[in-house]
Amino acid sequence: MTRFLLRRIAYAVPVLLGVALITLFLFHIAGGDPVAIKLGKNPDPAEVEALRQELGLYDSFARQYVEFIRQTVTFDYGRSWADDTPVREIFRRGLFPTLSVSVPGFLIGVFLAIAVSLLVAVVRGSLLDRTVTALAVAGISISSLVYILLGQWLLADQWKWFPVWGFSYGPGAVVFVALPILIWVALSVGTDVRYFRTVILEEIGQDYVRTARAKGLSETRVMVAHVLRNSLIPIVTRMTIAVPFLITGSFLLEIFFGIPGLGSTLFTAIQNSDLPVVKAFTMVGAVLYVFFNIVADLLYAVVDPRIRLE
Amino acid sequence: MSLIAVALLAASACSPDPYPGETGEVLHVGLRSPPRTFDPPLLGDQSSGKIAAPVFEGLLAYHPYARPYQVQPALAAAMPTVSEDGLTHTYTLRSGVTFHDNACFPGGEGRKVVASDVVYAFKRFAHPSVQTRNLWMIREKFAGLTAYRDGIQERIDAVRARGEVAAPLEGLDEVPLSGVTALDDRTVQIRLTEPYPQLSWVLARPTTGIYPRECVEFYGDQWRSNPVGTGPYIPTEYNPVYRAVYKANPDYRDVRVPDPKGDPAQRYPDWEADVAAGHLAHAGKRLPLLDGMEIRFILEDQPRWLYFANGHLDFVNPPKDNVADALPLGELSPTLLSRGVTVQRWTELGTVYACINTEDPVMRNVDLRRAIALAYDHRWTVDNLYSGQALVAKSLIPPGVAGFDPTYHPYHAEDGTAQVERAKEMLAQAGYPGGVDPETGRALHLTFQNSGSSATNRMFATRFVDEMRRIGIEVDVVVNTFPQLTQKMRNGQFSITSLAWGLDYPDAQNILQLLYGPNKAPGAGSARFDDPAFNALYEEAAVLPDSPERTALYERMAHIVSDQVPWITRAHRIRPNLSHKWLHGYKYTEVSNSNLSYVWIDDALRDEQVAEWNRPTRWPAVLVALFFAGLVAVSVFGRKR
Repeated sequence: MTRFLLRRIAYAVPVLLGVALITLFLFHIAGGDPVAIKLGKNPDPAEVEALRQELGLYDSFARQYVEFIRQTVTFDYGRSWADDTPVREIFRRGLFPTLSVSVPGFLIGVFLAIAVSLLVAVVRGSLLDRTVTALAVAGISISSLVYILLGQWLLADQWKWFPVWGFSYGPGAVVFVALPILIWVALSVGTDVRYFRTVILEEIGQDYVRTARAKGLSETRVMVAHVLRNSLIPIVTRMTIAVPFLITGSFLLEIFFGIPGLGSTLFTAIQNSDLPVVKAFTMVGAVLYVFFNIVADLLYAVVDPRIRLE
Repeated sequence: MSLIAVALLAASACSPDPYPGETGEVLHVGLRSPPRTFDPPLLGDQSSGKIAAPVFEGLLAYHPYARPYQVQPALAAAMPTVSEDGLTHTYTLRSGVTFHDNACFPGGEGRKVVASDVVYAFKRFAHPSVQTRNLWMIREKFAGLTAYRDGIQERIDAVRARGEVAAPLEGLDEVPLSGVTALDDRTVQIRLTEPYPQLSWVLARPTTGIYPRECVEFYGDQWRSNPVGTGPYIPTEYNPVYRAVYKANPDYRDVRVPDPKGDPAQRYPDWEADVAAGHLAHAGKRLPLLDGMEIRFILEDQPRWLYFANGHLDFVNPPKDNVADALPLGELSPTLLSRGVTVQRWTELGTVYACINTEDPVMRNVDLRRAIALAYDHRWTVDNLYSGQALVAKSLIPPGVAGFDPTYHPYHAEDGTAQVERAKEMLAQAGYPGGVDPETGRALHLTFQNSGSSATNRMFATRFVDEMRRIGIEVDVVVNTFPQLTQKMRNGQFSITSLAWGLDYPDAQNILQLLYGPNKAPGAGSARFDDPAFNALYEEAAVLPDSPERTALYERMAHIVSDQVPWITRAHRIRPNLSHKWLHGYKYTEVSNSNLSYVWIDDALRDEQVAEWNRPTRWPAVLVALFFAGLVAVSVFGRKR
């Protein structure tokens, strides 16, 4: 187990170094001039040069890369070039709003997708199964922007069930995040249901399921205790890989519904060539992705005792 | 499914309140972009200017209603006394003005404003470490500014040479700024290097607002989000990606809504129109007129528009895509009319233009630039891409500013339509008959650098490609973020792009400076235009006060631009502004941000109307719940059978 963990961590290091290299390289060829954002529309050329020096834009690529690695190790990316806010402060400020949408959306979506998948697997071929499958395919085919625009217009503006836009810290957030969560669920559940249904149907056809039924177990017990348990490996993989994206959130949902989270911050940072913020988001995303991949491997052993981590 | 159905039913049971816990009369404002800071020297974008304006005051301020724009004393007790040579301006401060109460003061009580605060604000403004976005406003104008900045830079360099870290405002006290001095506690003198007619506009902007030194030092890095000034509103909450909330300043000095009807001394041109429009119904009332303000940063058009439509914003500039719904055929829609919404239309103090790199090997050909100008169909663009909410710009100087002359337009048709045949003739004269480049034998190929990738930007670019194709020129479009485009413009790596300039103050010098030779890129003059005749006229006009003589010079400069075509002026956008009937005293402007301090609302009417317009519709939730319940029942029951 320990050797497995050390080996996976060792594998992760070159991956993260590569991500940092590519990020910096892309910024160099397509990042534009961030000085324009900081000094406004009519700067003095001498000021521009001085600021470029100060921001380290004239440093060699190798030196900038080493600095990037140091920042990643210490999680100290300095300050945003756009508004001078410390990058740590940006994360601290945006984390709760982002998670208040993404975590409930994720959990409800997964729970709903598993429940619906089990149900339609049981009633395979029925009207419900065909309706859900059709809805899932339709759901996957429609752009997320359509869900957001339509959901906001219909549910918030026309029917007045939710606020059109806004956020509140504390328990009051429920009112504001309800519609973004609903749309998050609608966006994710179609894909998940299609995938989980296929996985569950494969398991239902296995011999041990027929044996369980022959033993006289109830259908609920067969589905939950046997089929679901044996379907967990692909489900856990899919869920675990999705977790890092909960942190970066959905910038479209956040921007359209006024959720002051991390997703909308990243969007603005890219527009502004705000390298410190872009670097921080890229590396946090990469680290989380690597971390949760390792977690997924660990969970395999938990859900399937036949798997040994060596 | 049942969970969703239950959630929908629960949601439909109550009407959502987007301002929970709010009490008193609070103005609701929505901005389309996030601000960056409250810190006056760093104000450079519209949103930052708007959030800072209720907090900070300078020596002067814009009159909230007068058009053409006027400035009036703010922290100064009167307009300055100016020396005969126009180089020394002396301001006397109002007595008894205090800063907002704040923890940065001993006992939390705001102290009186004194002349040394003005000196501090300007020295900090000019300090190299602050990196103001607005140094250009006083650069080469304030006496001793260069020596001050150089002196400070030397100190910073010396500290760094010792391997130490320079203090945040290293040398601010030690190095003098001879252009701004406190003669006593209430008297400030500004000395200039040459007459600067635009100074009063500059001193009326929030960026030259006055603030207390002890608060800057108390808050340190957090000063940009913990502002302390003298204005009518005090920020109580600020989240740069969500909102700024303010409460009324109970100690605000005695400032009142202008009363030109009751007091002839307060009259200004066309004041009767403002009385007739109801803007001055609260004439004579003392500021602040409200208990507070809440400014929300709503980046996307749809939610901002829906927020207004539901009564959650008191006014709005309708997004481009909603103009046709809000103002079909240019008039308010029946829905908005029935809700008592009113519209104000103002042509922006700015110009949309195609910027041409006049040093580009191909585009330095003036006849080619003229041919391109003639091929543009400005009328089509105004009618279709601006939904009719713009004027064809025949001059780079916008309407409402001295020097605006729409009669001289050698390469614009009177109605703004394309002149394709003339363009083809001009193209042949430029050496590209039929659009063919004689060097290659193929169609002349241009690259259009587009700023942004939004649908609107793409439409403008696509239209340009079509218009050029009509005269035989092929165009490639390159999409850039704004920083990418800025870099290309600074380095001269572009042929043609589309830009817009909003005037910082209502003086044509502000836009003409972009074509003054010494300002060419890597300065702000992206077109790299350097015409000796234009430069001479600019230098002559720069030191003249507002006068017919200066206006004539501005017109001549604009004519040179029309002839030489470093810019192809395209449109002056019209900003329709919609207000709800409970909002009073609001006169739209994009130059002054202090106008929000003069508005008031009928809160009871707003509450009543918002409640009426936001009653939930419940039947769809019941229907959805029944549908899913029925589906589950049929499937399960059918399987059991």
